[in-house]
Amino acid sequence: MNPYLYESKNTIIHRLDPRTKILILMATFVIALAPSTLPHAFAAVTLVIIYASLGRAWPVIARMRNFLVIITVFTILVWGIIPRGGEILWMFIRRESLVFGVLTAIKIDAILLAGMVFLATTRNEEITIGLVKMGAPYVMCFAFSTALRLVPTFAQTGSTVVEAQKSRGLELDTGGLWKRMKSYVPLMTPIFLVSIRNANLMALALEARGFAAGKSRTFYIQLKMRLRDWIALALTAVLLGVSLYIAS
Amino acid sequence: MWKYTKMVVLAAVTAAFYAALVIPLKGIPIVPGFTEFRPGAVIPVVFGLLFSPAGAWGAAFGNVIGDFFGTFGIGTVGGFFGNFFYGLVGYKVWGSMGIASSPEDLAIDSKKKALNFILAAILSSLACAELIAWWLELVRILPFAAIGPIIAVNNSLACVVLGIMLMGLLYKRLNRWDLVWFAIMDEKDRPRGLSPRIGAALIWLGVLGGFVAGVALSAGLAQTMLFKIGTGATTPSVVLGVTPFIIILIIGCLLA
Repeated sequence: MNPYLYESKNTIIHRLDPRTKILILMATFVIALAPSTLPHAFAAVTLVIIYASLGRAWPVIARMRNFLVIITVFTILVWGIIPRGGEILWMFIRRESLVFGVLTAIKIDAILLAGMVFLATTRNEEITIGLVKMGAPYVMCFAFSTALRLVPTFAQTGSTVVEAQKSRGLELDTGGLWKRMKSYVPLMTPIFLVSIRNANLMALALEARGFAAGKSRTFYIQLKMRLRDWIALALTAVLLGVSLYIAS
Repeated sequence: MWKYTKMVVLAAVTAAFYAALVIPLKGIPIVPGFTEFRPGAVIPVVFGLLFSPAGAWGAAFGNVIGDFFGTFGIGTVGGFFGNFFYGLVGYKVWGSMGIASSPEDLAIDSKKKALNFILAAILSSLACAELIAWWLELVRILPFAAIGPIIAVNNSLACVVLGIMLMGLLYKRLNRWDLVWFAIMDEKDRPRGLSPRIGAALIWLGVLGGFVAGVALSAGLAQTMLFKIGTGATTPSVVLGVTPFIIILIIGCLLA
């Protein structure tokens, strides 16, 4: 059971070093946030769309399309009711408010799309090792990657406990919302306690294998910056510079 | 804390629990893209009290992992810090409000202790809301007045409704298994601030002051009127007004 967005494909984006992809992601956030005009914002989101196409991330984005539509509508509504001058278009909604709402919605969509492309093209292990190589403390990254691995495990533990209790006659699917929520409460104890107990065993196993023994460690995944990474970074830097120049 | 393998694993466990409880409810957004109905918000406060900094780091990591399911973006940065303080603040003020005798006195066995938990939970929720709303205002994505109160109420409700019960279910058993923070960490390694009471007072000031200032400035303060909310977002006044309180909050956490 893998609930994550990553899809294994052989694209140029998949082949980039994770450090390159992390830096591109950070630069994309700045590029997406910089615009103050609609044409500039459309240009920024077009860049992200090209990036998504290069990474063949559209199946992942398609899974999230309803979510993106809701965010877009909500953002336009929220900013649309905030007065910013200009002529009144309808009731209290002014032209500038609506334009700002659309602008912000495009920015948010560009940011979320960039995040989805990153997650669709980068394995969790690569994110972790990329962060370590960029200077993040190893133990923190280890905790993060362990948590990523534990999420499906805990979900599995949860469904095992639920099935066990259902087989003993527990009714989880009947009654109103409050009754159903209350039915889930007794399930929390075994789920939490089983999982925390297993975590205790994991800590013992880690120590038995010399975790935190102090010596510098090696990694299974070996990262190497190649020519394509440097080209991608140079291109990103140029686009970032142009975007900031236009915004200023 | 990071030199204790158990604490490292408990940070991971907290993160995984938080993410596992948040992810299934991503489909019920309250502010699409930024927050959703989340009973899992009880995890940071309860695990922050049980596991101390490991709980706080776990909350921060867990929120990032939760964002991996569609909401990963610039808001994730604010979510990381907001949820870190969400897990940290409750533990920092727990023993300094004149009800619990110490940060280790975690059994909720009286109405006074229940009140202590509720106060800590509400303060933590407000701290989380203050930091995330401040960040989203800084990057001009959402107005403070639109997102701050929603996060505060959403988190507070989860903690108040589920928190005391969850503490009751977990604390005694984990204490018996020596899996609470003060059973894992040596006395000399336990985080002890210079002045817990002054620190707690500063945390209260930083959180309440920052939250009220943020909402008031964002809502236009004196000239607040219908359909005029969020006017502060057109200027840097909200960010500038809340920043001093965030600094007070951080100093408070260092002292507590």
